[in-house]
Amino acid sequence: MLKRLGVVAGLSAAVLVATAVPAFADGGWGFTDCSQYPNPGCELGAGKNPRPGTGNQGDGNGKPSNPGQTNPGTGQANANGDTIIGGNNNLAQCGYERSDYQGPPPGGAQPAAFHVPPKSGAVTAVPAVYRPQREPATAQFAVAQPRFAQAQPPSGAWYVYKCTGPGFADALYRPPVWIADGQPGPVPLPSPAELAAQARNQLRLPAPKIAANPAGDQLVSLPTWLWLDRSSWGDVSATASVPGVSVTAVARPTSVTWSMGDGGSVTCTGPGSPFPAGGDPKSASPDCGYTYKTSSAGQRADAFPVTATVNWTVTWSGAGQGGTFPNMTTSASVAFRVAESQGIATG
Amino acid sequence: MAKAGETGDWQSPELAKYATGDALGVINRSLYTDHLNGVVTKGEPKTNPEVSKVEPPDNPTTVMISDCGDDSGWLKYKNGQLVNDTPGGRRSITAEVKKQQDGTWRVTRFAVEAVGSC
Repeated sequence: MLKRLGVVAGLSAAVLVATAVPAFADGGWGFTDCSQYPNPGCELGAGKNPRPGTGNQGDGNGKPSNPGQTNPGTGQANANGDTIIGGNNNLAQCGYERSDYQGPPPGGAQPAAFHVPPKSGAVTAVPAVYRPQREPATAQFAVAQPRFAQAQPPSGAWYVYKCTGPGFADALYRPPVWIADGQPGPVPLPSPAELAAQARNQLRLPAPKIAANPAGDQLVSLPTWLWLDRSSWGDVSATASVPGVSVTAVARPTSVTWSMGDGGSVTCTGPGSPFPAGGDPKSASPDCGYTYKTSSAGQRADAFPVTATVNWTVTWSGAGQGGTFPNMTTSASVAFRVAESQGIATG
Repeated sequence: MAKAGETGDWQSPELAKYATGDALGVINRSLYTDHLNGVVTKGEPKTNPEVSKVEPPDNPTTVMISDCGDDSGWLKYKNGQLVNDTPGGRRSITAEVKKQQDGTWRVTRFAVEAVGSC
């Protein structure tokens, strides 16, 4: 049964591409659009954009526009609160995923605007999820209460909604909605890969802290030492978990590319050696240095804009699986003034 | 928001200088979602805000602002391409600005209506 529904839904979605995916608001205010995403604050505009009901998303308005409503029918949520979104057949493989968005519930203790009615017919915001059959692993996390739940009352969590399928190749998440714990139906649990994506999203990489010698102005023909403060160079990790499953993403700095502002650049495979106290100013850095050939006179502010860009590899592991994410980068910029050296450092 | 939207920096501390409470939450969640989707916003909205109400009149603590904003020149991009071909447009906007305890004024709530609502 599930499989057959999946095929039907997939076909429907494919058709929709050509006809009816008008939903995604493209303008900068798109996700704040009260007609699509009722938010706390939307009551201010009441009357300008009549909406059914107040403080209640149960009519489907809370979800991204709902092309499936033109074809109501077969896909009812079953009695067990199972994994099919009710009455929404055209939206193949849609579901809520727990979000790593962190923020208080909307409206503090009264998440009324996001209240999901317990049982109210076909198209509700029941936190259900339809998983395609080809991802059997995602169904394995039969755990009641994931530990992302916010500590403060009311207990619940932020979820993001997304539809994927043949017709939604570039599926996009919709803004997080707060769903209180204890709603009917199973809470959708993320797969290891989804957990990994959340963990990656939680990585907070430090910006490079640039240091150089000479500490002030650089001099033409005098070696410049380049290094990054060690506080901005090292593994960074983040973990996302539900009970029994934990996935960790690790970002590791692998190189730093210095764009020196005079057209030259240098890539170093480490943070670079700090200039030793009492070192010879004319010595060159053993691992990360540069020597300017021209002064920065005549440049904007008489200085070269220097940017250090750190390349990070990102891997994840957990639940017996692992993988690699695309590299990430961080960067920081400073300005180096480079003076002609005659008469200054001739000794 | 336009500035933070360029980079998807949904945690930008700049935002909290201008908005608080529900308004900040809505903005954060909007930007968070763009960030999650790898979407950035380019351009700027056109706004022409007007004060519609001041309370109390003699020593204001709440100012209501209405606007007909236009986000057709402030669009979302992913991988350098427009997210879709649905343009923005003119939207009726209502905002509540309240004087904070520290004397600053911040947007506390706002409502943005559908394209074509003004």
